[in-house]
Amino acid sequence: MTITNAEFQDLDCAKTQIVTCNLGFCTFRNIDFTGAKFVTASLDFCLFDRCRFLDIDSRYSVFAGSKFIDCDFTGSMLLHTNFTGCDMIQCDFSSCDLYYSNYTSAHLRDVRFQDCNMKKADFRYTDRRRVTFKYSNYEEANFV
Amino acid sequence: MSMKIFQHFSVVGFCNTYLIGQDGGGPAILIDPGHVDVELIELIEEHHYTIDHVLITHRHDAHVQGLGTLLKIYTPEVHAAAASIYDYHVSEVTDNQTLHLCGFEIDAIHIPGHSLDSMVFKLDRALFTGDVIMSGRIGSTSDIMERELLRKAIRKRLLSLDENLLLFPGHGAPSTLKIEKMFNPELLEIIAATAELIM
Repeated sequence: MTITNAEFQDLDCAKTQIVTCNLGFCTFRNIDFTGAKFVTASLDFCLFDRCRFLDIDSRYSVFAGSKFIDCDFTGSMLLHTNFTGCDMIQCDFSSCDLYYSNYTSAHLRDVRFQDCNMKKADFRYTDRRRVTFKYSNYEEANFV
Repeated sequence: MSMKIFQHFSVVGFCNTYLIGQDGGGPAILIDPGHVDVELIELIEEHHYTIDHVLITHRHDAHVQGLGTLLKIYTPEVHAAAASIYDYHVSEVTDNQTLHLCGFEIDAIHIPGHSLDSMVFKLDRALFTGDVIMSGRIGSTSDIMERELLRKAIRKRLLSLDENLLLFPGHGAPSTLKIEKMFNPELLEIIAATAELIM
């Protein structure tokens, strides 16, 4: 399925399955993706404003180049997920599994990566301000 | 009928293996069988595929170690730029060769540097890049000469391709050529060097 350049607002998308979809260049405002499954989904260059991604399961999905404002990913599995070049402001990734996820060249402002599995996560060339990795195994991530 | 691409990851070698076939099953292609485990066999069987062809992006262990197990179950033809892999017979692929496998047209692009036999396979809108280019980085090299060989080959052969092509690397997350051109620092260096050459 391909839907690009569309705008979505105030929707309950909890537990939806977004599999092999192209939703690039879309705007999502106040969307609840709690418990959703993203597999090989392409959501690059999107705007996510006040979206809830609690306990999502994302594998081989692409969010690269997107902007996230006040989004909550708490408790999510974000495996092999591409966040390169993303702009994130006031986002929470607490208790997430970031195995093999990629944040290269991302701009991170007021972002929490607390109690995360960061093994093989890639944070090279990120611009980080007020970013916390408390209780996470950040030594197993790639920063250089 | 439409093309289906399935990704499989194994913690042995941390390699992505790709299964490609027509929707509904039948003969299929496997790219880089780094580790053949029960999950991969189930993926193949659940979708009613038989592996007729195996493509190898390059001959590093993490990408070929599953060949032995695979060849005990299926009888595929193995295609690679290398003349041989372990003791298995290989159909040699050359640069710019177009393969017609399982109803798909596949272009082989030789990009040496990470290894001398590195091939990128272009299949419709998808690029299977092995360790040539991955999300946020280009392949590792053992010395500066190989680094320059890789950079030059990427500049000449990959940067001119359609940037909307999907990129399926040997390790890590998927991407697109456009995303890499925008955010991959090592690719940006190559692009900047190209611009300097033109000026």
